[in-house]
Amino acid sequence: VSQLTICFPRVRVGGDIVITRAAAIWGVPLKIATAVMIVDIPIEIGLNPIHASEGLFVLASIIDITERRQAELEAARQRNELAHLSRVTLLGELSGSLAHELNQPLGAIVTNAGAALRFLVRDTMSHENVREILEDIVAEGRRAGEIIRGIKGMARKKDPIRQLVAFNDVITGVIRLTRSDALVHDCTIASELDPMLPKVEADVVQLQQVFLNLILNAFEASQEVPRTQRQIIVRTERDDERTVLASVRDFGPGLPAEAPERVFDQFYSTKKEGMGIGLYIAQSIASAHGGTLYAQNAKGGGAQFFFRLPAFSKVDV
Amino acid sequence: MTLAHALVYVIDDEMSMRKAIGRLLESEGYSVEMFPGAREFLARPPHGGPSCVVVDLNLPELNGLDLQRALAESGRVEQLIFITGGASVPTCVQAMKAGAIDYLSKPFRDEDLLGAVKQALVRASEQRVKSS
Repeated sequence: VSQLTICFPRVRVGGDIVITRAAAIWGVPLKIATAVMIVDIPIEIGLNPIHASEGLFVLASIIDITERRQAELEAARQRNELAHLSRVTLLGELSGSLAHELNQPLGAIVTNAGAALRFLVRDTMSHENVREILEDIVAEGRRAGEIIRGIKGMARKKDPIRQLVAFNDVITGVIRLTRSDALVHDCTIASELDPMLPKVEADVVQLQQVFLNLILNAFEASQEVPRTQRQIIVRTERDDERTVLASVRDFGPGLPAEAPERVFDQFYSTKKEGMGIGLYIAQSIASAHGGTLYAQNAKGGGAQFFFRLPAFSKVDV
Repeated sequence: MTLAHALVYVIDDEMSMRKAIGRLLESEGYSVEMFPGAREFLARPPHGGPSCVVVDLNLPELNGLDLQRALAESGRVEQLIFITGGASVPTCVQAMKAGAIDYLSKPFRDEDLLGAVKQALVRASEQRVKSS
């Protein structure tokens, strides 16, 4: 060890910092005592042993890393801002079909209620009929509420929260959210989800964002091919004991053969009004979760995106 | 007024919507038959009396426009009423140009659907009188 770095959060500004004997005896665990706290300053302590003929000396340095820490926080804040911007853009792309998705339960509610009113006027309705209609109205009202909740979560701007998440649930939710968009694009989505998939520790909204990105891109890519070919396959599987793997595959024209990884570049876009941050952000979300997101051309045509995340295991706790 | 022997088909992949439309039509005394998709409807032999079809434009596989085309190609004369959850204007224009009675956006007013169905059935029975 040429340098020992210790970060400790609290020192008294201008006060005594006692590095107990450590400066003299290299290799012994450091004991650091701080006096009365006044202000929190993040610092980094470096200790370098210097072997001289007179004996062992230690060069100790204490660096105030407030600025560096602030820059890191600022970078994280900007990343979250950009992620939010990208999410809102995605929702914007979806808005037409989300309206369609909402009109579905609203239409059923209005028509059911209208039918019930007419039955009442004609006095031709049994209690059983009334009950059935009202039950349907309640169910459809709930469904509309769920759609709104799904969008609200995505649109909200908040700091990511890590929790245990079932990968499959996130995917199922996103597929539901994109159902109308699939119809508009004449695409069908097939999902092959491993029911025994372990959970992952992640921010739900960010995971949704990654899948929403991949699926909307797959719709877009599918527009280049005939309707019969517009299929999207979403799979989850256990990659190994410690990794879960999700993939989204389309049968579109595929990725640029010479440099498939370019699709992840910032500002790379094939869409007319695309900002080119979707996949770039998705990849940064994957790596912030200790995972990877990459793409390749699939055998038999089309692009396939792979999203790998560490599986949660109790041993890690 | 309901026409004797008239039959209204309802095609929607959403069960809840299909049932709701079916109820509305039944509340006005119409006979109704429901299908989850256009294929299932086409597999049924045509009705002998006047009939019309209330169909969702955005159906998976065969969509509303496909159905319209398929009916025209096989020389069937069922009148079509389209319902949509937010179809684009060009799609609706296309449907109307190809002879649809009307298109209604969900959620629609009961009167609008019932009015369109009545109009469709009147047209259907006129055609039958003409052709016989």
